[in-house]
Amino acid sequence: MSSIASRFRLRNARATFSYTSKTLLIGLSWVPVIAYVANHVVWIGVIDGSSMTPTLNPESNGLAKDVALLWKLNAKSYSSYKRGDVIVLRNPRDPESTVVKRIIAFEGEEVRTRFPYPESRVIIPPRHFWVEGDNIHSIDSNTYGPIPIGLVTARVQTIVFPMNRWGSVPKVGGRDPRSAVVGLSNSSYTKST
Amino acid sequence: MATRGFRYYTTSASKFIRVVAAIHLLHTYVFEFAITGGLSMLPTLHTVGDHVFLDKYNHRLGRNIKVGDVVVISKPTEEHTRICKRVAAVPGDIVYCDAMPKAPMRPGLSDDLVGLSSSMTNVRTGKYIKIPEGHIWILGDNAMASLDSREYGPVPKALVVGKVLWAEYWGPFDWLPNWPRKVGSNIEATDLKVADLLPSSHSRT
Repeated sequence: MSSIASRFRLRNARATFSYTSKTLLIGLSWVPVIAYVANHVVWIGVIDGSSMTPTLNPESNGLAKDVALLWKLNAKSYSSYKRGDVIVLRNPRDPESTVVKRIIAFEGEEVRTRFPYPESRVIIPPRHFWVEGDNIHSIDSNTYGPIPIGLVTARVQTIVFPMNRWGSVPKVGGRDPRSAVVGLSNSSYTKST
Repeated sequence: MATRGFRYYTTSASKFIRVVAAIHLLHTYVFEFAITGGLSMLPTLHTVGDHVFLDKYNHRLGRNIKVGDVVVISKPTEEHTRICKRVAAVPGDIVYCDAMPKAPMRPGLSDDLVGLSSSMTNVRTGKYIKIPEGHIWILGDNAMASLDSREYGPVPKALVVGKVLWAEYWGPFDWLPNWPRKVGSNIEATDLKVADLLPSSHSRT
């Protein structure tokens, strides 16, 4: 099967139906590869909402939305995450939507929860995270509790747009883990970001 | 002697990755055959050797899941693992979590003692739980030997990978697999509401 470039070099190439349909089919056959890259390697995403203000979407109007790179490689591997990573996860209360939050605590750690969580202290179950939004008004683990690794879809490491905040997402923001996690110095996970 | 040139290998490689990506897409979003094992779904599924057909297209992320469906979900307390259980309650239902101590699994297994309160205990305390929105309550058919929502609590629907439609048993010592059998709901969804089960205040005369 010759490549598309060589077809254009052929002297007798014409826009026939068979040529168009063959080229279209070859193009379509690459769609699953692009879908694989989009779901398992890296893709681009527009951040919506104000739960990660001021780290992401600092503008209060809904028009200036940040665009970020979503890294999906090793997204389901628990040990690849560090404290302070910003992640994209499926909303536990609505499986069709996703939310963006920051990791505060890992499995086995005890967290001092905030309103409206019913208990004041909670131990994170195995392979779960405690996530919180940088904005104090965010709906996060303080509402729906620790989230399992199976819900995590991607990590947000780089802002692509707007250009004045281009670069890595800040690793600090929201509640300081030293105040959120009881006994952070004894944790087997990295203590600081 | 003519050797296969650079163009042959790049073309073959591009065909290969396109085919593999298409099959991966099919397996993740449409359907998959999976092998199940374990005692927690007896007698519906055998301990070893059952190959199940998973419908992902209609039931990924918990879409169209009803009480009585057998679903495969990502295990909440372990990564890259899946478990197969039956849906016992959907959002809005109230379940009673029994207070029996969990049957010991294999000795020495440091297993997922999640507990339904903040302390991780080995004994489930009996309590009524209302399933929050977006979550389901899963239960193994062999409740005595099953790690399910009685430990994990209500499980987010987004963890659902697919629904089991058929199972086909090919025993370890059989020459040929058995005919596929339909794995269905053994629970008929009724229109009973909680109010129907509570004592009514106006009936005594």
